[in-house]
Amino acid sequence: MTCLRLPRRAALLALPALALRPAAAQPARGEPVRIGELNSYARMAAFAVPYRNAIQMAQEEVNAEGGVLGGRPLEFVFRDDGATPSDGARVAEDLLTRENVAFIAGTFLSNVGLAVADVAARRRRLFLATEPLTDALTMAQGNPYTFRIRPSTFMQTRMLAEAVRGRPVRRWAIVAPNYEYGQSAAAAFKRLIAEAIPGAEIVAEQYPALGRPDAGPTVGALSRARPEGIFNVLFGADLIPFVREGQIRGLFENRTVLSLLTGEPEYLLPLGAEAPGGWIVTGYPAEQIELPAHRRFFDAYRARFQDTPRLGSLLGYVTVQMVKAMLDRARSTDTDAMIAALRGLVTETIVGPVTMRVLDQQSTLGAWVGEIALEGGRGVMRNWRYEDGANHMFPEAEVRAARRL
Amino acid sequence: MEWGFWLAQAVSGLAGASALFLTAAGLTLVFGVCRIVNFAHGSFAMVGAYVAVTLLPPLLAWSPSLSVFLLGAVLSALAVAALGAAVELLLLRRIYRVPELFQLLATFGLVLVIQDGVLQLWGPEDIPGPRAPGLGHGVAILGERIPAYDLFLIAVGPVVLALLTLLLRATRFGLLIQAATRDREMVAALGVNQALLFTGVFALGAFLAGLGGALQVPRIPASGGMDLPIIAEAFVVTVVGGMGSVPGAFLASVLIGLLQAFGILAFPKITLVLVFLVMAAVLMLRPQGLLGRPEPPARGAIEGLAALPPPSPPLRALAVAAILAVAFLSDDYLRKVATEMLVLAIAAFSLGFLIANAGIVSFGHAAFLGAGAYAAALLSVRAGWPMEAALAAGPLFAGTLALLFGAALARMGGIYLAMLTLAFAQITHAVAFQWVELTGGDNGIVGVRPAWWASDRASYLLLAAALVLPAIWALRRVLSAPFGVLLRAARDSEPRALALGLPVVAMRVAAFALAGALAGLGGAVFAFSRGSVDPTLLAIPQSVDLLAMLLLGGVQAVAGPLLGAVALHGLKDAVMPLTDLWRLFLGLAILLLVLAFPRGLAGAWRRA
Amino acid sequence: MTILLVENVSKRFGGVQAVAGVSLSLAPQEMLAVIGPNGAGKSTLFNLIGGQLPPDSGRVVIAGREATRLPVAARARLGMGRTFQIAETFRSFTAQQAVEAALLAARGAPFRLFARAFGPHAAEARALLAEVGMEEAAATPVSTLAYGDVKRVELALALAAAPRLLLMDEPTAGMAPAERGALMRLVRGLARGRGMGVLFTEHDMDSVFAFADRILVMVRGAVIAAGAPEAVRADPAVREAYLGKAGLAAALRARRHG
Repeated sequence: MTCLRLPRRAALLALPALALRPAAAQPARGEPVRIGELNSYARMAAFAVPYRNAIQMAQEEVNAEGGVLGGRPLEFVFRDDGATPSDGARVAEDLLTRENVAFIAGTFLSNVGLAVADVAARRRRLFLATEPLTDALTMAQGNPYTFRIRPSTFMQTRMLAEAVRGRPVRRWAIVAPNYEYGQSAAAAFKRLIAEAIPGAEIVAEQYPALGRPDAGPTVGALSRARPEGIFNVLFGADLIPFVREGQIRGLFENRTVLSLLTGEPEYLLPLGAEAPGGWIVTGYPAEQIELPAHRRFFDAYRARFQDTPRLGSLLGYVTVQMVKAMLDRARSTDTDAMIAALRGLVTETIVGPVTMRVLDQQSTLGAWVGEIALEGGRGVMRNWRYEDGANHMFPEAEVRAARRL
Repeated sequence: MEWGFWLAQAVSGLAGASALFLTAAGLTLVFGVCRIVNFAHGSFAMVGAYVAVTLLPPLLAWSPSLSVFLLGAVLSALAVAALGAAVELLLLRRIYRVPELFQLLATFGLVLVIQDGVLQLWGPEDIPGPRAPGLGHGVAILGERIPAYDLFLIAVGPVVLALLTLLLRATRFGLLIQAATRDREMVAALGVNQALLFTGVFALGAFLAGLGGALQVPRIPASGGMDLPIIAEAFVVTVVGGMGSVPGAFLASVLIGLLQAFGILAFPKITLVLVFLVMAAVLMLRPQGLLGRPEPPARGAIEGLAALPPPSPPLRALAVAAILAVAFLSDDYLRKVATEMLVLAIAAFSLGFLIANAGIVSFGHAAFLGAGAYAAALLSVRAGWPMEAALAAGPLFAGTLALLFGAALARMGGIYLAMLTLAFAQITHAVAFQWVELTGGDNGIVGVRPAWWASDRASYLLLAAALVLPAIWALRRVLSAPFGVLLRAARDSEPRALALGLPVVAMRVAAFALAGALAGLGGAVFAFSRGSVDPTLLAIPQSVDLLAMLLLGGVQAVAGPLLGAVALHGLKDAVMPLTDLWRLFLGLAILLLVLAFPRGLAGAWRRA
Repeated sequence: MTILLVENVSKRFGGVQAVAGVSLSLAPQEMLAVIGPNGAGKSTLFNLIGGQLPPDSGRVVIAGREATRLPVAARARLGMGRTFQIAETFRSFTAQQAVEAALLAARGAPFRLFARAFGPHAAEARALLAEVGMEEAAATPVSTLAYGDVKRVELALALAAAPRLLLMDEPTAGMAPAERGALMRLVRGLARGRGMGVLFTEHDMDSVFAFADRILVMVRGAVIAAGAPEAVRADPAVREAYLGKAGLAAALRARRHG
């Protein structure tokens, strides 16, 4: 893992970013607090590498300002989780057993996240799941040792359904990749749209296989049902052909389209000039967010990596902020103390306060909901607003039922 | 109105079929002449797409016309052809005599290398290609807007088929290809420069793959994950059409394309399974594919696990001592790794038994590992069975599944058998992946806990050893018992075995079931060790890992697969933490191993 | 008593009548040769009797049991053994192991998982190897034997099942001329000693006329002559259709030397 550890020289290069900070305390010293971070750096590099960049940046900032637990530096130990649950579970054990880490964090794919959460439950150690989206992680498969930061599939679906509350759009079609994420997003949408729009009905459902982006037949089947609205869960390499084919064949004309994650830079940037205008999406309009703390983060990230932050970057940075807040509160790296500190913890992040809800151990970090517009040959989010996750969590009764509390 | 819809649907299906045909035609030509099943063919298509999204924008900026677009596509394909020729010259040329399974494995190593290469060159983000000038719009037909590019693609398929037919029928190169496809020895005897022919054919195959990839970019983006779906579908098309048959590939592409276009209307949720079900059905009715010739007897079957010296007692004692040492003297992580090594060892050994002793080349053995794991996990978590019962159910379920698969395919042989095992494994995988209500989909099943007495890692390791080691020894025993010996005899000569009155088919089915059950035992042990199961356990890469273990360890000795399992798992464990480029290293390691030790490490060691 | 009875079997492939109403019978100890020019239907007839192909019409009776539709392995259990034009042996075994394996197969316990395969039949295997003159090579891997020796091992494998009927497809093909007579003499001795009926095809006319008790001549799927060697040799129809054509005979001779 040594090659992932940042060389000293890189740390010095990062100093200009720190100069933006108002006051510099004594740099941290002493025995580092090690955190095992595992993610799909090879397979999901588009997401995971900006995430790791931001963590490294934030880690250096924290350490320059005096570190944690009375001056100890934070040290993230980065590992590839192999993008499979088996490798992920093994790497998690390795980190816990051999790397002497205080706790583990990370994972991107839902199945890897769940497998690692299971390791955490078995070993009775803390796991901070930063990116996986599956509801199962905090609901039916939730365990006392696992906390999640990113807003879940259900929360983001709910934000979209709320965005069209009361609109006269009754006939809905669903298109989702055929695996757990797609199927649970579709299930959540069916339920939430019925609450948001009385009389809404689902007139077509299509579940193309993940990674087999032959969009023509799917677009044909959807348009045949003559829906008034479309709920899309496709992303990445599956989304681009769907957008193209749909635009050529007029699938999106005069229809309301809701789309999960499409506003995240990871997925919006590759669409380029073909970003589908008018879609209502969840995402992250990084360069438009004017909160001063976020602006500082944005500028520092861009200066250091010559690239705009992705959603992964935001998550990485917020993760370090929450870790610091947790350690400040726990005053120890004892697992029980850290868990106690996390429950109900409010962190002042660069996008505002985020609470770790006690009931399901899900953070209230939100997402930005807006419309895609084409500007300067690329898609941007417009008319967006930050949807606080606190308003879109699972109802408490459902959490109790699912987690058998 | 409805007519327009059906037409649009058919156009979509046929456009997809054309693109599929280009790629599959290359694969089938290469197989026909070189007898190599090239796993990296999808990677060639991917490279074609990446080169196209790089080349086309500047070309089109210079002159936005359809002819320039086509020129760009052909240039991209030529670049891929050059890559293909290089691969043939540097790699494949050296392994034509290696057993076909190891060739397959070598090309899979290439897949890993190209994946990381593409990631390094083009970055992780998907890159959409430019639209084709003049074909970016929709054409209104019967009230539907049909993409003009789809209509163009539909024409491309038959044009390429016609050009290929012309090439095959009217040029010396083409006649040689045809002759070599029918009878390689004859072509060799005629004094044809075979080396040149093979390089040429491989470059042509790569060209077609590259062209297929390049012409797809107006429809789908270049992305780092497109290689495996492409190769999976190209395999299906090639096998359904008949390996080596270009018209067969065309027919099968059209069949698969239309099936996908109309199948999703009736069954929107079984998308992955549909094509593989069709493939399995076609192969069972017509084992050589729609337009294929019956397979000549498999060449270079892997022989091994033959006359074995019994493992000397020190070796046996050493294994036991090593496990005891890990259980009592090491840390929990090593205990977990050791447990997993035991699991992989029994899975690899049972696969070695099938391949080397029974002559059944299975490319989907992970299906049984996964089936055992899922059975144990489902019964433990959903049905609340105690661990002991769930552990017993794993091998029973996997064995039953293997019995069914075996009964369906025991009459087949050679590469078609391997492809059919792959299809069955894919069906199993698709069930686990898409039947979310039962299996949890890709999330899998978590919370699989051992009984209290085996809940710490040391006890569980000892339990795993107590289950797996006797199973290994028992299977070793079977090798020198009448069943094992007669299976090997039937592998050596099926006509002789039949003439002696042996029920060869029934024996092969039994061998399949036995190997499946043992892999299932490994899976069940694994489920309780990891605490969760998920579909990657029965996916292609897992099957490839098992094959790589055989390659690494060799199959000439019982210890081979076992050493291979230990070595590969250890290698992965050691390399993964060091670098993001572990796929590249793993791929290069596989390539080097095939090149340097075509008989496996243990085989090399024994000869020395 | 008859060990093999073939009644009026026919087989057609598309437009070609490969076998047209052939009948024959074979007694224990008897050596019956089927000869004919290339394409006469000998191989097809062999495959109809051996069970590789089903006949369109007619029937095959082995040891008094109806066998027309039985698969190969079931015919083997009725007492039919077989050797092949290109020897089919167990290449990855030693000669001794190969015969032991054949004995195991013949004794019908192919699903025994834990018994020892080699050893119980060792003495018997050595005896069989001795019978075909291969006792010296018992420990030699079959894959390293000379082809003539492989043919003898194959014969031992076939004998392991103690067949009462042995089909031999070109038993001397690929052997040196000097070895041929020895092998055929061995086969005739086995037929006489074991009371085994032997049906064989052969291109080498010297072997046929020296060792066959009776000869069946096929041309274009049909039997045109049958009887003792001298009678067949004298039959004008045979002479005209087959033996009389000097060119063909020369070609055959050239082929087996080539």
